Amino acid sequence: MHQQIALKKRTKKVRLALAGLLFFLAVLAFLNLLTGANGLHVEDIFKFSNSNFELVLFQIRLPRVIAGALVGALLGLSGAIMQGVLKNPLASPFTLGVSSSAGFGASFAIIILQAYTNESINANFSIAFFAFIATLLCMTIILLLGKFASLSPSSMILAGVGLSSLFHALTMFLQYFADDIEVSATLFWTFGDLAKSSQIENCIMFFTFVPIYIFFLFNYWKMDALNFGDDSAKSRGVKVDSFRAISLLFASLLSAIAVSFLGIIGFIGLIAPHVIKIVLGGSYKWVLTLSPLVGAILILSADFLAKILLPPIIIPIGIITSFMGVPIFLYLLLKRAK
Amino acid sequence: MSLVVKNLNFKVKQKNLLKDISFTCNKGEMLCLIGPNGAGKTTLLKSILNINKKESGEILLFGEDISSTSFENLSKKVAYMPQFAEVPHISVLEVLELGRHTFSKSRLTKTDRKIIDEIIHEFNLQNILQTNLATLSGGQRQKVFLASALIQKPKLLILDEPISHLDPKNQLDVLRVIKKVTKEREIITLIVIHDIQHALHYGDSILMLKDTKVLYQLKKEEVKEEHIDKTFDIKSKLFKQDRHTFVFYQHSHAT
Repeated sequence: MHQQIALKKRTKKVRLALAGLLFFLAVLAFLNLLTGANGLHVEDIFKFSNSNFELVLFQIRLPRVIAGALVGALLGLSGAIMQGVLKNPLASPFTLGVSSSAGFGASFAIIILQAYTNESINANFSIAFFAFIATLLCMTIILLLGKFASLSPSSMILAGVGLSSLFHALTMFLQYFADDIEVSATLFWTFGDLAKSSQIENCIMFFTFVPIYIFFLFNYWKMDALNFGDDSAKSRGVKVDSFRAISLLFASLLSAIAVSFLGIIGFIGLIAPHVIKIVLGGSYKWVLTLSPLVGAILILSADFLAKILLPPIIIPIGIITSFMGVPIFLYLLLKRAK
Repeated sequence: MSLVVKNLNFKVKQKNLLKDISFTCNKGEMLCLIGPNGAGKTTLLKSILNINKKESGEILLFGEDISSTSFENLSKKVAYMPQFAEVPHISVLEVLELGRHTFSKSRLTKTDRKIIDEIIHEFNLQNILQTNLATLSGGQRQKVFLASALIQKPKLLILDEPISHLDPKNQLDVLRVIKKVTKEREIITLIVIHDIQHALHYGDSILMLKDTKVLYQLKKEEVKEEHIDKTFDIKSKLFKQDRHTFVFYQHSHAT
């Protein structure tokens, strides 16, 4: 009886939160369809009156909104997984060295392989490919250290910080020997930008996200068990080592794909899980299932700001998310210190 | 005997952390593990749980050797309350639900809900179901952990210092509940406890460990001063009154 009442209250709260999040997502998607360098108004969407309508809406803005929602979902889920398995509220794809390793991979393609001037290779593909490989390399090193050196979750984060510095140093090393144009190109690549994504990238992001999301729909309870400590989780029937390794691998894949396609978009993976934790509590049933939605909302909010702050210039979204993220990050640090 | 541990050995880097551990326990009984720090109490519990992989020996639970069973199968027979459980910010109901996921994975069944309901009433948790676990007092939290362990419907309940950080009233409350569920549900309870007086009052038998070995397994009535003295390297005095046994320690005063 009491359980039923508690379950009903919980379901009501979750449904309300879900409805609220979907509403925000829809509003932000619509606002993003309306805004951009080219003037497009509400009536244009409904009356098909603007001559550029089809081009602007279907070729530019809609793929951009979809890319934003997808990359937000990828980063949100990746952050939720990392905070869960590493049992650290400040864990995110970027604290484990994703941004610096991706930056190194991109710099390698731009400076060493001359991606923009070498006609034998596709520039965007090769940059994304090397960013992806470098990110996976960084994550693999952390996973192997975790397995063979029996690193604790907190030590794995420290390993991530160390590797982050290493990849940063390697990037600077490459940049030191590069010419001005190459340095500018590597710098420009690090600005996370939704315009980099096309339908192919969107499809890859979608089909990477869906199976991983479904995996966690069935395994969220293992993450909750893990949050009581490894021994406790084992006594609940969780194969802790393999679950942690698979989860980190999935989280790495999600963030590596997001970053290699769109550049560095910070703080989403850190903040999205915390929004759910504040609204619905710390159970990973909600944190894992709803963080992608929060991630998508945060990205679309940032993209909307990116377009309206200095029109007609569209500021790269990575800059906006970092501006948005820093105060929230500091708030979390201070809250933790208390 | 419902639980039989035979010649259990556990080593880490050639160092023996458990040496030839043997003991038995009946269903419906509480076996209290006592011994000085570093004696191997927690190591023994983790070896029974298969968290520590044994070097040799047998662990028979109702005749079945559970020493090489997977965590998933073991969790359907054995429940565990660790010494230092971390406390995430989740509701009491979600902690209780965790006890059934091992059986039903992500979707709990009506049977699971019924089992959770029974425990809610048994432990009087009706009014705190939606409360954040982290905001509960130490005593309440231990009761919720215990309730969540019992929801696994274990045959063997393993408790590592469940009353260590509790005030005297909460210590007695939690021990009374453990004693009650052990008898009523006819489970085997292994409990690490530091207070010898509590062990003698609530336990059915006492396992005394020292230097990674079993020194004695005794019915509580059989425990004498010399057993305690040898186990802890102290001088003690036992005093019995009205079915209660009191333990006094001889203090050495610095002059």
